[in-house]
Amino acid sequence: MNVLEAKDVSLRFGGVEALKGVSINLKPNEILAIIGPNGAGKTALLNCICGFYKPQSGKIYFRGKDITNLPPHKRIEMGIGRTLQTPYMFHGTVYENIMVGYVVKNRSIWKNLTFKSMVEARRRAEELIDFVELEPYRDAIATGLPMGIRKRVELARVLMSDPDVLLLDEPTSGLSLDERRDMARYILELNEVWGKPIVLVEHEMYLVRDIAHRIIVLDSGVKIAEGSFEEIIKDQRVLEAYMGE
Amino acid sequence: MSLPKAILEKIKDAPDWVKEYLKDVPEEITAVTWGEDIEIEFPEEDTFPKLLIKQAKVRGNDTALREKEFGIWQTITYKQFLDNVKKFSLGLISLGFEEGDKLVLIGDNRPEWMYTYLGTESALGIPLGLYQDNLPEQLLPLINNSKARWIYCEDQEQTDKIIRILDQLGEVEKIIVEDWTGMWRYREDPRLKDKLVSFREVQRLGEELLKKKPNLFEENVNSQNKKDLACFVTSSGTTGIPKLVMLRYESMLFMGLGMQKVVPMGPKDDYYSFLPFAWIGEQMMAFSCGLTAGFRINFYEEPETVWRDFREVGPTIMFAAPRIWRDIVAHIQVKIADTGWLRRKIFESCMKIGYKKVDLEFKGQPIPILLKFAHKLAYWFVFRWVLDKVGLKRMRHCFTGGAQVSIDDFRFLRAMGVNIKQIYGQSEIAGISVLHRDDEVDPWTAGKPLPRTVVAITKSGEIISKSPAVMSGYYDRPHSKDVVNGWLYSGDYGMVNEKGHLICVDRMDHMITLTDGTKVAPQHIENMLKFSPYVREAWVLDDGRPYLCAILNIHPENVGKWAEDHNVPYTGYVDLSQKPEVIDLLEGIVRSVNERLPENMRIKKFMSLYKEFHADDDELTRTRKLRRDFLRKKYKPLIEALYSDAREVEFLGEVTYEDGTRDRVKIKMEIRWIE
Repeated sequence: MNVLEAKDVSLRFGGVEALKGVSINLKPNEILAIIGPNGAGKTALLNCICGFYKPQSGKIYFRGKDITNLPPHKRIEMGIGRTLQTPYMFHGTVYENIMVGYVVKNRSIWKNLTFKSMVEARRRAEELIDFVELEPYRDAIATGLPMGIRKRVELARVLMSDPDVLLLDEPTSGLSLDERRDMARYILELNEVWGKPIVLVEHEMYLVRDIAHRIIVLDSGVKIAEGSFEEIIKDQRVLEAYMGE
Repeated sequence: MSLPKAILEKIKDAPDWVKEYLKDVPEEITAVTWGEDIEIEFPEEDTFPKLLIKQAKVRGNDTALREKEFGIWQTITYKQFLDNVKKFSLGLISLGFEEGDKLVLIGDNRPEWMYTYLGTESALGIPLGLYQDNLPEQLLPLINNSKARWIYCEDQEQTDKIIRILDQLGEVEKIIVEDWTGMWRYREDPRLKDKLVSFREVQRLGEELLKKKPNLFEENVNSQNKKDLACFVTSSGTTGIPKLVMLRYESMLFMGLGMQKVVPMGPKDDYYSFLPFAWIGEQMMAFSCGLTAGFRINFYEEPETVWRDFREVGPTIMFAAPRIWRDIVAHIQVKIADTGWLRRKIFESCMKIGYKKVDLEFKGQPIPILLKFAHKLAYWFVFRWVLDKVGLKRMRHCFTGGAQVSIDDFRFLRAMGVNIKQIYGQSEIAGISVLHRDDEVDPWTAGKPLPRTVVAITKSGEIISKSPAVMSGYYDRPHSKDVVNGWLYSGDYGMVNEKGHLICVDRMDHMITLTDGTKVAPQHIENMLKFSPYVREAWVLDDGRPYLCAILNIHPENVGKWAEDHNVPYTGYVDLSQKPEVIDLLEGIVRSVNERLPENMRIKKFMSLYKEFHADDDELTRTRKLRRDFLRKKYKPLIEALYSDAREVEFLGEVTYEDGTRDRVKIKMEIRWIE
């Protein structure tokens, strides 16, 4: 069964058609990459899945359940986690920023005030700090940190809510070579060891080639190719979209 | 060897053991000094594992180790410490570890490093710690020379290094990996399938064996005594591939116990372990002193958080290399320079009092009671708060050794009331053999020998020493001539002053003799140059030449900042190092150093090198000492140019760009003459 499915999703902003009947499906334990030139509709599609935009037509299913009309916070509670291209940091320390993720999923105020859940949240946050190697920054103010660190903080924050599916929007943009390598390792470990299915929107072709199991190419809101890296680079339409006519 | 008259006169009243030692001194000596006449009694538990068992029995629930994990200091008691060692040791045996096997340890300071070290010893094997920042090709000869079949790697990074040289290594039985992060795919590799094993897995196997043979561990431990080999330690390696020093428990414990006779340490002390365990200094503190004195050993969370955790621990005992003290002093200096006008003025006037006091102390003169009182006030109202910020507030005894300390740093710290003392020693004598006593600290000397240790100077000026701490020899060089009749030849040039303090000048083979016969210790001049924040490394040249020259490395951050402040645009290190303005800056530094030197020891020419000396390029040792012979070969054209009429020199050098790629390019460097 597909973990996540979008069927014939179309999205319009006034006269601009961002998505024209795009369908994707995500299988369990899969890394699915969505690539395409600027303005192809990659981020718009992610926004439809997590509920920022409501598509004019089409349906979105999560574990077979129709979630097209659910608000974003309900979808997060169900287990859809998402990172942004430019991470947003709340004012506060790295540690506090990560802890926020716990409240998103465990919304009962009374439960959150118990000692037990505080211990649980703290333990979880520390495990994630260890996972994304943020120990030196634990007590640093998050807003002033470099991009590479903020991306890691955001990833840890999303993982705090223990999502079943991860939507990562350009996780390596603005990172140095070493940081990109680290990020690729986190993504692989999340997928292979933690068993999380991942949708990855990415510009970096080498990263996509090395870690994605399947690739979908969008151009001007239309899905133009789907398959393995070897398959899509042979596709004439993909070449045209990337190289120009 | 018959002793000269002056020596015989000097040892007339010496204790018998000194005379006994001097009977078989292998060559004529010109000076001698010895430590206190205190009997050093070995405890009944005369090996490290035995001492651990005893500590666990006597004070099992006391804290032995502390490690920061999940942001909280986690406590490990002696009972848990022993339990971990026991399980690991038995686990090794059930994997086929045999008596006399060697195990190489590569990794950061962690409790697991200590478990592995002691576990290997109690499985009747020999541990060898290697520096964790060694490159694979630097590890290769060391592992092969030690004939180690077992390797402990801390994490994926170290494991990757071993995998890269696996084909060239001899037979490798198992690679034990402590932190499995990022390693989930490694078991799929057919080359590694039978070799990789996690630390926890070894301990689990040990638990199983413990159920079957509950007394095996104790039997193994009790079958050893102080005459057995405790470990291999690498020598410093300034001249080539580091040699493997064989040390017995006797040597290690003699050194540790002897040190405690002059520096009392106890269970209430805190020690912070952050320098590489491969260094003898760290092993001697953690094992030789730690297991006998029973102080707490604290570990950092990550290498990046060393200084934050250092402050949280606030250690009471510390032993570090001069470069660490340089960092601490520079940190304080920078913070003071950044603070407000009033605070800075207060600090500076207190430092004046501090300097006044230490200068009298250094001369051995009595300190006036008023000055003593003023210093107390300065300490309690100013210094203590500053020291708290860097984590030195609780420090009782701290030591610097391993290389020449800068006199200025030493004076600075003592003026602030930090009880820093110099020590002298080497791996070959299980750590240290000479140190300052509390009441006679002198920045120009290394102090007096440890109790029951004799140090002498040969006719050629070499420091030789004898005590039960001297090594049994080099494992990979059985015929070396470094130990004769129990006397250890250090290769250091030194002298003994009238107070019986040892002065270590420099390495014997580093001493420079100019054509007019002047003897120069380059390290001394290099340290004077390096006290400037703009000079990262200095290399003074050269033996058999008419005058001295220097090749300097600029400090990239500090000179970079200076260039920004003075509107000097630059692109990278290569460009910055050759800017005429920067060379003018360096000229000023060289000139001010020259003013403090005698006429014939002044630097006549210098140049700023296009790159920094780096241990990855074999130019420095891992403890940041210059490898002069290697440098001489590598930079031969530069040396030739310095001693010619040239005003500039071209060199085909390797350049590393910001993105990590390397390239060979011709670089023009200016030779600045100082008239």
